[in-house]
Amino acid sequence: MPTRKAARRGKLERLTPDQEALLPAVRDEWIAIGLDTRPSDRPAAERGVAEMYRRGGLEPPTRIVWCGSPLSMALTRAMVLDRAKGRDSVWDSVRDSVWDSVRDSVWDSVWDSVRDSVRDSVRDSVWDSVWDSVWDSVRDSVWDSVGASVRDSVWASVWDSVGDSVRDSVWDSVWDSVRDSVGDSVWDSVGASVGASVWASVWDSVGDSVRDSVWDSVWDSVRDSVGASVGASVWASVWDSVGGQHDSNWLAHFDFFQRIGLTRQTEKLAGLWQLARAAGWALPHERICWVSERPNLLQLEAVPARGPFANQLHCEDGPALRYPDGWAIYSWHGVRVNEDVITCRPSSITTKRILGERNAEVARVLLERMGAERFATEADGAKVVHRDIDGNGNGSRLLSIPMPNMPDREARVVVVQCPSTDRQYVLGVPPWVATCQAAVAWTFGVDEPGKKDGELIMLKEQ
Amino acid sequence: MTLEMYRHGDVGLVRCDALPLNAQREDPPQPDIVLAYGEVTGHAHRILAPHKVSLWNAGQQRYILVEDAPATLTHEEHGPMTLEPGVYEVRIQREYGLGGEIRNVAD
Repeated sequence: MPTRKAARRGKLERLTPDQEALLPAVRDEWIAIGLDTRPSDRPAAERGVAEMYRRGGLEPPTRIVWCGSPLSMALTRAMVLDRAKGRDSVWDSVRDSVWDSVRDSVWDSVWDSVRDSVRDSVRDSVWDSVWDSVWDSVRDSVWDSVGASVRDSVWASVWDSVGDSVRDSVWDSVWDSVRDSVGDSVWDSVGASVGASVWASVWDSVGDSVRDSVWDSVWDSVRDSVGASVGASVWASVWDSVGGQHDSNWLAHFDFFQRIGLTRQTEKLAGLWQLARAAGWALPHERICWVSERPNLLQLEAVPARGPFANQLHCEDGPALRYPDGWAIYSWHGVRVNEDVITCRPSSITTKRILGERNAEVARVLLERMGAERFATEADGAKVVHRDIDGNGNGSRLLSIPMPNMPDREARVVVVQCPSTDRQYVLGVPPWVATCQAAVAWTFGVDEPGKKDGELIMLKEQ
Repeated sequence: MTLEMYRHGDVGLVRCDALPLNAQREDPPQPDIVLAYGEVTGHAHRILAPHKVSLWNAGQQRYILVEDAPATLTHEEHGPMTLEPGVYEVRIQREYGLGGEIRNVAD
C-alpha cells in the first residue's frame, strides 16, 4: 500500500529538543489567556470574530454586540430571538420569573445589548425614552414597540446560529488534518503536557462553572413556571457559544502544532485564536455575533492533589468570579453556592440551617464556615456513641447527630484533640464506625481494626 | 496479625514487614523527603536529611524505608517523631462527608 506508507512517512513522529522546550511556554501562555481578567481588547476581538466567520466559510456578521457576561449574552439572545420569532408570550413569562433573581446590573447590561442588537429596527426616540425611564414602568410598553418592529423585519427569520460552521466544522477539519500529520505519541504527549494542563487550570475550574452557572441562573427561576421552551433557548445559547478564552485547552494544543510548522493544517483556527486572546465567550449568528466581556475578578486556589496545574474557584468572603455587569459566581473550595452561603456571618449559621440543608455539599460548606467544633457542641439531639482516652491521655468522643435530610440520616463525627497543638477537631466518619479508635483508624484507611485476627495499636501520636 | 500505626497530624504510618515486590523507588526532587504538604498552610510533614531513608511507590500506595538508623519526621506544628528502622506505608488522613463522599482532610 504505497500511498499509506507515504502518508506515514510524512507524519511527525518525534519532537526535537527545541520543540519539547516550547511545550511549557505554550502551556503557560494559554493558561494566562484562559485566566485573563483584563477588559476585552474589543477591536482585536472584533477582528477575530470576522476572521472566525471567514475561516468558517461565512460572511462576517454585520453587527457585533458586546455583553457584560455570558449570562447577559444568553438572556440577550433569548430576548432578541424570541421576540423576533414572535414568541412573545413565552418570553413574557420568563421575564417575569427571572426578573427578580438576576441583579439589576445584569439587566442593565442585557438591556444595553438588546438595544444594540435591534438598534436600527427601532426609532432612536423609543430607545431614548426607555433609557431615561424607570425600568418597571416602561419595560412592557417598550417591549411592545420592539416586538412589533422586529417581528416585521426580514432579518428576524435568518438569525440562526452559525456555531456549527465557525466552530464545530472548523474544529473537525483542523483536528483531522493535524491528526493526519502527527504520530500517536506526539499527539498524546502534546495533549498531556499542554492540553490537559490548560484544561485543568482553565476549563475544569472556571469555564465549566461559568457554563453551569449560566444555566442554573435561569433554570432555577423558570423551571417551575414556563420551563421547557425558554430553558431550551438558554441551553442552546450555552451550547452554541464559542468559549473564547475558556476554550484555551484545545486552542493551546493546536497552537503548539502551528508553532512547530503545521500552519496549513491549523490555519482555520486563526479567528478563534484571535478572539480567545482578546475576549470571553461569543455567540455567533448569521448576521450578528454577541461577544461577552472577560471576567474582571477571579479567585482561584491550586489543587495540588489533582495535578500541578489544577485550580478551583474559591473565595471565603466574596465572589470567586465576577463579570463587569455584576454577574458573579460564589464558590467554596470549588463548590458553587448561593451568595448568601459565602457572605453571611459565620456566627449567624445555626445547626438547624445545616441540618435542614438538602444539598450535602452546601451543608458541608456551611459546616466548615460555622466550625465543626461549634456544630458538635450545639447540634440538637447529638448522641455520644463512644468515649475514650487516647494514648496521650486526651479524651475523645464519637458523636451521632441526626440529619434526616442526608443520605445516611445522621452525621457521625469523632471529636479528637491534636497532641501537638491541643486543638480540638472534628472528623466525619462513616455511620457504621462504633468506637473512637475505629473512627480514627478509618480516617487513615484502616477499615476493620476490630476484626478477630487483627488488632490496631496506635503506638505514637504527634 | 497486629497492625502498628503511627500518627503525625494528618499523616499516618502503618508498619509493614517488607516493601511490596512491585515497589519502585521514587527520587525525591529536594534534599528532604516530604510526605504531605498542607494545602492551606504550606506546612510539610518532612523527613530531614534522609541519608538512610527512601521513598517507594507501589500503585497508588507510598512507602518509606528507614535503614540502619532511626529517622526523624518533622512538621511546623507537630512535635518531631522518631521512626525506628523498618518499612512504613504512608496513609493520608481522609474524612467521610455528609453526602457519603470520601475526601482527604485539608490541613
